[in-house]
Amino acid sequence: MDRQQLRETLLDVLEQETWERPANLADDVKIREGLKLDSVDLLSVMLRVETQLSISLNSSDFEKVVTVGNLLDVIQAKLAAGPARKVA
Amino acid sequence: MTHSGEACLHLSSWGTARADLSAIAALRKSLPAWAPKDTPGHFLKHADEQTVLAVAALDAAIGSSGRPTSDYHDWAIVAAPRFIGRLAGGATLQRYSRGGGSAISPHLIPQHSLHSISGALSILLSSRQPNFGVGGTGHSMVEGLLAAHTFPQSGSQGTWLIATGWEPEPQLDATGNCCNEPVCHAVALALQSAQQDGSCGRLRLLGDYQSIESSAGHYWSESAAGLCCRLAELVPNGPATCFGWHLPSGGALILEATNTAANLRAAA
Repeated sequence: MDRQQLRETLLDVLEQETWERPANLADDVKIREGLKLDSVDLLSVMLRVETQLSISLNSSDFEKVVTVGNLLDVIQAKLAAGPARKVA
Repeated sequence: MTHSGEACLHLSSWGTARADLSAIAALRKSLPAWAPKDTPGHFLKHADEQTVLAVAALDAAIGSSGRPTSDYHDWAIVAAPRFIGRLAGGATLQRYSRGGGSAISPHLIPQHSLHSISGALSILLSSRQPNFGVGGTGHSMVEGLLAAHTFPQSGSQGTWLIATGWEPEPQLDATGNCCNEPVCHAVALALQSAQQDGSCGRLRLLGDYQSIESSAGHYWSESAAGLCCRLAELVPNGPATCFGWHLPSGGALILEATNTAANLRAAA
């Protein structure tokens, strides 16, 4: 999945989460101010992304996430590392 | 204190809201006109149904007050929900049984807990004063009234009391879905220590047992739903209607309320 496809996936998830499909999901858009997501909204978005892409994210992954670009970087890195393994 | 054994707050405005469960989805998308401009459109998407109705009741109360929302930045907010989160809790237990912890929404705790309503209203009102939830049980109406009445007025210009609840309570089936037709009610009372122009009632805390016993004609122990319905039935500029709640420690709270033309305009 390339970055543009990932961006489309994120757009779909954001629409499910907020009722609105952001008109601009460029890398420099800020999560909080640009998308009006609070920390719980972001967590909810990430849970949807985890389910949809079969990856596993944790809170430390988001410590430096400020923009959409940061977020896509984190997701891309997780995808490159392979699918999540379920703990028995 | 007005006289020995009695403390009084003035009711400067009130508002009510009622909606069937099926009608609440649409209300989630309509934020009040006075909400801050940067409030996200999905602000109420994950909110408890009682929060959605609380916002509508507050909107009605502000509308009937005729005052700008900026007047309420220094008001405390006391919310008294009854059994908040039961619907979301039932659905969550079902999701958890099927999908485990990762199937549970992170919105559950911030949106469906005792302080969720007051927190949401505080954000919408841009309040600089304390907000908290009280009660949460079947006695939340009187607990909310008592908390609002005894909350220190220093620092705040008034106190909003928002009481909410379902009537009847939602009944959940084995899959966590609601299988009856409950109506969610909310009532918002604007309480101030100093009487204002256009005051529409008062809330008295009575310690005198005899004066309570002589309060014939009062509606006693109304829930938020009952109070909401009774207030909505008041005729404009008619006599005050009295409601009473006995306190477990003795004494009682007496709410006297009248309707005004402004209330009717706000409710229209």
